[in-house]
Amino acid sequence: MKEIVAIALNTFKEAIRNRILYFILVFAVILILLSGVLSELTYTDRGKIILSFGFTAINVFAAAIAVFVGVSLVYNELEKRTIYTIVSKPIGRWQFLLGKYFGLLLTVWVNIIIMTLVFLVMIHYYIGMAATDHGGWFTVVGKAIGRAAVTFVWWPAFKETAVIMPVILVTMLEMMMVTAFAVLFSSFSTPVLSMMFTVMLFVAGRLNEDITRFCVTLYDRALAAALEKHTSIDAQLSPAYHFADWAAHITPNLGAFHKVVEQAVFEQKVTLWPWSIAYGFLYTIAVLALAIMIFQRRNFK
Amino acid sequence: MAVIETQGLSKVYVRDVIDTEYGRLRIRLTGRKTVALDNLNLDVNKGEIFGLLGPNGAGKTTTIKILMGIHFASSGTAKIMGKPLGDRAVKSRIGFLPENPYFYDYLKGWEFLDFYGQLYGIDKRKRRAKVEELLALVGLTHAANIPLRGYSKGMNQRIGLAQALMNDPDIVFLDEPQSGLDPLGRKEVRDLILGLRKQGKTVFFSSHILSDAEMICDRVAILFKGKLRSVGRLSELLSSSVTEWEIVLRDVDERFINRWRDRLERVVESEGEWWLISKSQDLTDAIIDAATRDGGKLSALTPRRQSLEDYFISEVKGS
Amino acid sequence: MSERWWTFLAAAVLFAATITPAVMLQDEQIYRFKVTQSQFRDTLYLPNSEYVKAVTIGYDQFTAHFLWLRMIQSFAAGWTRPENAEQMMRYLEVITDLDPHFTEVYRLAMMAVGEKAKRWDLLDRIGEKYFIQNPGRFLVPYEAAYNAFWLENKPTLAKFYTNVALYDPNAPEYIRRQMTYFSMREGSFRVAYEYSLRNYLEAISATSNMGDGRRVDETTKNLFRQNLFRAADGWIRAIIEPVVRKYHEEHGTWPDIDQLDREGKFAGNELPDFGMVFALTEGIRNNQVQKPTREQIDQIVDASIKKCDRLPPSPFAFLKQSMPGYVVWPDSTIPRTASNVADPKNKFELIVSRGEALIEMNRIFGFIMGEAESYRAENKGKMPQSFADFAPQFAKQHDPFGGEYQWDPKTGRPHATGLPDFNPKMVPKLLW
Repeated sequence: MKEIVAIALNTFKEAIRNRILYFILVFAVILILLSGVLSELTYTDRGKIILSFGFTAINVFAAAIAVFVGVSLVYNELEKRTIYTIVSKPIGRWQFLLGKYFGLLLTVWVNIIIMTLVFLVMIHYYIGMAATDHGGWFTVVGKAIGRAAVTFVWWPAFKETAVIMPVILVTMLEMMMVTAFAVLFSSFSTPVLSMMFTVMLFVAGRLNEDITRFCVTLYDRALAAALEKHTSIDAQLSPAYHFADWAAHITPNLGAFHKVVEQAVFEQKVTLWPWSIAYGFLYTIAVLALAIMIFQRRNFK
Repeated sequence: MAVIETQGLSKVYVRDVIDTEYGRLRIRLTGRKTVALDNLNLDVNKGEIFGLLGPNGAGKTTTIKILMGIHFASSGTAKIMGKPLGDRAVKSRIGFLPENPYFYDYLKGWEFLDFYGQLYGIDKRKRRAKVEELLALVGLTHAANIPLRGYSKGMNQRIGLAQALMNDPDIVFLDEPQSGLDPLGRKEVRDLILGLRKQGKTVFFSSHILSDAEMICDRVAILFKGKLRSVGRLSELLSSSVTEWEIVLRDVDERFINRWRDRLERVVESEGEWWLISKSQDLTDAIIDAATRDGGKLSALTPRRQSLEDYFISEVKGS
Repeated sequence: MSERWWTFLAAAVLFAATITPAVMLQDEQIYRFKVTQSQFRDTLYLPNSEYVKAVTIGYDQFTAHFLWLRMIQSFAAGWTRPENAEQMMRYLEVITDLDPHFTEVYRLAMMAVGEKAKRWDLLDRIGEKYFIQNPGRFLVPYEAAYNAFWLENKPTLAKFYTNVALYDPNAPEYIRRQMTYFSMREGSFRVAYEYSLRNYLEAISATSNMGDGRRVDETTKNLFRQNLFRAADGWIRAIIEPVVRKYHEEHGTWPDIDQLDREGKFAGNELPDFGMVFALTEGIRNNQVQKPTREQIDQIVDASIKKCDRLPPSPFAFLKQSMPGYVVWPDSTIPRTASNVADPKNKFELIVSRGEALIEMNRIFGFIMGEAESYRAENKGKMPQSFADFAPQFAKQHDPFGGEYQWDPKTGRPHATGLPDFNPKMVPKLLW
């Protein structure tokens, strides 16, 4: 355990001393602040637009950090042969991989938290400015920072932002899975390929529900054809159906989490199927186990 | 007592079917197998400096990688301190410096050593003391707070040595510890290794620079194309007797030289001096006698012993 | 000069030579763009939602909101122009496909495609989409019902939308109330009557509010009463009209409704017992009858409809003495003559007199309370203990229903024993 923590902290150090992280973070903060500005374009439902844009920015950039920082972390160790000295130390390879994973996860989560704080301050700033006697922008910003801090500690403190922290927790859960994939691919493939794989899986995961819907459409079509021709459904099911069905089962269902975010935006409440949390953890553990299986057996360059 | 023993250790590399070479995608179906190490049997005794020698690509690094658990052997077994490879207890008693090491360049010198100390599970106070001690040992105290990306190649090598000694190991594995160092650096590393032996530690190192090895090794093994050529004490491998005499003569004419030319190994004329290489004592005596009689002068007479390099070359040529 | 300098100089010359025309060409492009009228369709091209969905990689809601911002900027004031409806509809379809819960989009569609462009086909499509995607949300169906009724003139569709809206447990009361209008326009007078009676009873017994917590005010109560009268009147006329027409076809002349009624031509129909209803509601409204609960309101609504042998009195007779008969609305093709607007009220004297008695009694109550106020003004706010204190003439006088007037010093209100306190068990007995 001590060894995992040591490697995780070292990985975190490596990530936060990486310039790419700050580029991503700056872009994220710009987009989050932009969500407030963009929301002025709408004549109604301003709160929804802010929430939707902010959540998307946090989600996209958290995923970007997981992918861009994550895929090169393990690979760099192999490429630069720093792994040689690590492996010769009295720790298991699995400990090394888990340490890398937790270090990356820590990086992603810390960044999510930073982005969330910016987001909260911005929302409270807009709420403050909406009041008629706000007492100048300096006061408003000061109050907003205070309120954001309070919301961060006790999320239902303010009605307008009560929904944010639960959504952020769900995003963290989602990123847990994405990070596991980044580590998995990084453990046996080059950064460019890992990035492609991870991004593809992330996309497929988010489209998982659409794939399922596509499956249902194809099944309905087959059912109609079967009824018409008096044959079994199996005979009418196209290869596309089987492929889509297979794809829907094999890809991670990240849609389960983004649905929560969408609901939070349009209903101002969060209801997560409790088993989704278990699902997130189980999937992550499975992916990490697979990564360890590969890593344990491989020769390093 | 053998602290490192290998039995029939072999390694065959199988290249990927799809590979990138010079940035191009390549599909390779034939010639995918490379034998890097073939049936290696070695014993390294406690407290000795053991040199694993051979030209580039001989399998030295492969051997060390297998011993360190970076690669897995295709066949054969190896034991360190009587335990199979990968044993945690053993790993905590060895140190390793890889070839051309590259370390976490975002870490400062002391952070780097501290991190490795954590991996060994050394507690904080001891770790701090040990880091300072090692930095002083390798002469990097002034660079403790500089990130590793600011280190020169020599400094990198030295901090690498420091991390290998972090746990006060019983066996130290050094892969090409002197490559890329200037003569002064090489001497420092050499002194360090000798110091380790003085402390009773076993040093297992690989090198292709024979002169360095010759100076410090107790025993050497010579690898060539994955096969073990020979192994043994330097004194055993190299015959201690003189094998050649180098005679430098002046004021002798060519006629005189031609009389002996057939029996001599080599004859070279340079600036009025004749350089002769003779293989036997009698011949040398006879030449010197005759030359003095003819009025020539003996400028120099150098008896030559066999060097590791000579032995190495003769071994490699013989294969 | 060295080669290094020559290369630098050549590159600098090349840069200077190319950048100037490039910037000039760009200026020209901008100019051309400015002078040509930009086409609406060109600037707003959007592929089908399936393709949009494929590239959003799950950020559907975000994309929807982004397109929403884009759309309202592009259309700006142009959304009121009917010719933009199709183009706008395309955007609306894509946005609602991406985020089916984005209520504001549907509301804009209601206004732009429905109210402004009068494209009912498109409107129904987007309305239907909303109900399927957002069951149990009242706002959009409510607005759809409004559009369907007032703009499209489809009361049945409006009723359907209202029923959809009523699935929302949080739907305000006024959504249910508007069913009265829709049913009446649709011709379902019985439904309209039941709705309006319930609305009126709830309003005057304060089991209902305006939907935002406000109590129903007097103006609204009168409006509900008006609706009740119209519904009952419409229902009775709906019974009368076919019989009158049949008579006209057979005899060629318009009949006397009173005569037909006497002949029993309207017998056996279920009709509202309006005299009773009026008496009861007025009693409740003036605090003379106990306010019914919701369950009792249901019972009253059921009990007020009964099979009758003769036509009930015209509701409007209770309101306006100048218009005693059934109101024949302008949309009726039956000629408006004295005989067919006449109310056969002489047959239902008792009920009519009850109604009149109620009105009379209200007047008397008003008078009594006025007297009480003046008594209090004289006696430093002291409440009179009995009629003898301030209005002795009422102590022995009978009320119009044969009972006695009473004074309650605790509440400061008069009562009449002749109109008994409301009791649901009494309802059938009260009906004539």
